[in-house]
Amino acid sequence: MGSQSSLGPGIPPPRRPPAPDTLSYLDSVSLMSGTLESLSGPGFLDDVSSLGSDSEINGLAYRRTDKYGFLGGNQESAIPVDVARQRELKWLDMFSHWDKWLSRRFQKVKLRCRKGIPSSLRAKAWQLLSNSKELLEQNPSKFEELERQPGDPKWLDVIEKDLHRQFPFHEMFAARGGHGPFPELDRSWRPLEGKACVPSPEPAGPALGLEPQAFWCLVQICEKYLPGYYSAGLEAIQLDGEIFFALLRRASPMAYRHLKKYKIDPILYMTEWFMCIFSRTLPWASVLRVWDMFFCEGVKIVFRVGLVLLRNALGSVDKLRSCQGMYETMEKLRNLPAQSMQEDFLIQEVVSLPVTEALIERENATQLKKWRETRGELQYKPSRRLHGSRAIHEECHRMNPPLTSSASLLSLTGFKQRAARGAAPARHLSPLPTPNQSGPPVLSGPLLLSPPATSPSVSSSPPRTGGEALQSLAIPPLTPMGCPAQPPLPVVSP
Amino acid sequence: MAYAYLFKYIIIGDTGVGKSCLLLQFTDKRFQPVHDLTIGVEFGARMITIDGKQIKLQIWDTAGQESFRSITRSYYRGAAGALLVYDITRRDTFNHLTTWLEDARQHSNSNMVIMLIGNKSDLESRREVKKEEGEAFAREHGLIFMETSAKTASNVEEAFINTAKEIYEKIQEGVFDINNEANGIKIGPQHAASNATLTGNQGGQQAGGGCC
Repeated sequence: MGSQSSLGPGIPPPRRPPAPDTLSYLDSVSLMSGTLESLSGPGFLDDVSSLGSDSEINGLAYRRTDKYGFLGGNQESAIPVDVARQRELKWLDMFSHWDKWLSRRFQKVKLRCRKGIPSSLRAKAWQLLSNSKELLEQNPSKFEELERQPGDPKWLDVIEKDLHRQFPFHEMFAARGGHGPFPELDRSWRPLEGKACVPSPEPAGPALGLEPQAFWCLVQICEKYLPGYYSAGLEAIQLDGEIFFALLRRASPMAYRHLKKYKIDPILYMTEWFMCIFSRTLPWASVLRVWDMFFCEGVKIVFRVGLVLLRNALGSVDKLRSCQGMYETMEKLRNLPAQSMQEDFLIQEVVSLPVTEALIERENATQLKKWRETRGELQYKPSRRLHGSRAIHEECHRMNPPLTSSASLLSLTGFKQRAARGAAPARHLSPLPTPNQSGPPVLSGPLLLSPPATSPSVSSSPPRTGGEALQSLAIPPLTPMGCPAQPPLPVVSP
Repeated sequence: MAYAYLFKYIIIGDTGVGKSCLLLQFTDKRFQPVHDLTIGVEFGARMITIDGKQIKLQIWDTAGQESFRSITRSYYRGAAGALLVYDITRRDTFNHLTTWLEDARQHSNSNMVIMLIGNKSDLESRREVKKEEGEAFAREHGLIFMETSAKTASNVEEAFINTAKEIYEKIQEGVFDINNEANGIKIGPQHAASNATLTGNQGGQQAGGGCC
């Protein structure tokens, strides 16, 4: 029988049979967005029952999306309320002395990121970790300036084509009627000129969020965390593929030998993992945890997650029995064991894997040398990669005058003009109208990272169309871009 | 499921021409206009029957974006068939066929069967590329040609299956070395066993004959 291995981003493979009391998938989509046709994947039918805790509380009418806003997603929140609350207090304390924490107690910050950033504070934490908050403050009008610049039609075209294909199963995108872009939104999408507009979801952050916060976070990812990843030719990705493979030799000799035996190049399986920082591979709860660590510790985390996944897919004789051959192996890698991607298991494994920055840097030098010998000079020379939060802050503080944005990245295009023709820019839209009532008091603001899937004001209203739906969704989904755009009004006041 | 042969296909062409939709229509018999943008490569598989033999098609659906070109090339290796897709409503996707074809020829094995596909044939009113033009291009470059619609499923089965038939014929003619996975063909476990038995018997007979 036919099968296609990928269900969709953030949509974990079906794990449970549907609960009898849930609405049919079509009902749910139609209630939510007024469109039926666009999302008829069988995956949903199986997965509608997977309800997050928020959905349970909000009742049947809101059983549409998981707490992150994904249709039919399967996410559970396991942290007890009192623990969550304590963590929030700790994070709020760190926020108020952020520089000190980072320079003097970084190990503690790292540990707390590894435990998972409280979802109510995640947006701010990521901004601080990536130092994009400082960038934003140093360049208060830069974003608007860039918006006013006319866009290169070439990039606009590419973006228009691709935009609706980022997170199609997120309610925000589904609400756009599924087929075809939602014009108002799409026209406001701006490319990063000089960077390849690769179909990575990263650019979706600023484009959809239209929030300077998210935009600057993206800048940091492209320039500091993963320089060169989204450049034409994808050399940086390919080079990291080689480094990754070399590291695999230590992390799982068996997986390494197997992949080598069947001549399966890293580029065949790690491209999407690395470019999207696993946001299209892992269940959403795991994605957030990985990103928490990634913003703090940098690319090391990406390598580690990949190594853990490979080790769990191909790391023993038993596991290899079912994939003797290139084709079988590729299929296995497209259908990773669910258990290995589960939040707690994965994070535990990632944390304990001995792959250090130094090791990566050493391997980087080795592979770069090999690259030059076999393929010549790199066509695109990205800036030096910074390993996480501390390195970024240190660099930033060394620099005087303060870090300014690179021109290459920041050529935004005629957003304003286009937006004027269509809908108002999202950041001028109203914030989420109603706080999510389901959480404990301190969590009562809408989860910054979570689109307001469970917000009664969204779900209980009649089906919306186009712009209306958009307006109700002031917060973009946490695209893999990660930096959730903050609503104009602060949700959490420390 | 046991198969006699496994063929590796690759689907190539500009972004947005409907590569992933063709794959989904073929593997799952449904049309889903909204789907993930392909990053790197996606997979699909389906079993078909040719000449009474079960054949598994493993289909690699590639990213069409220009930026991915350099890595798409590494996906060609070991493909027995390629579907080169353009969009009949977008002239530029047709104009780019030559570069796609060059890439395909350069990075694949020379026996790879290439099927040219003009997709979105349901959008007749927006057509920019005449069917005759597609046919002419295919003739000129020695490709098989078909217009399909991933939306209505028109010709989708045929496109994948005809390509498989062509590959199968090449195997029968002995053009492909089926023992080399680099050619994009793998003999199924069942078939390999019966082949071995057959060879064994023949060997035995010949030996016997020689003896007499």
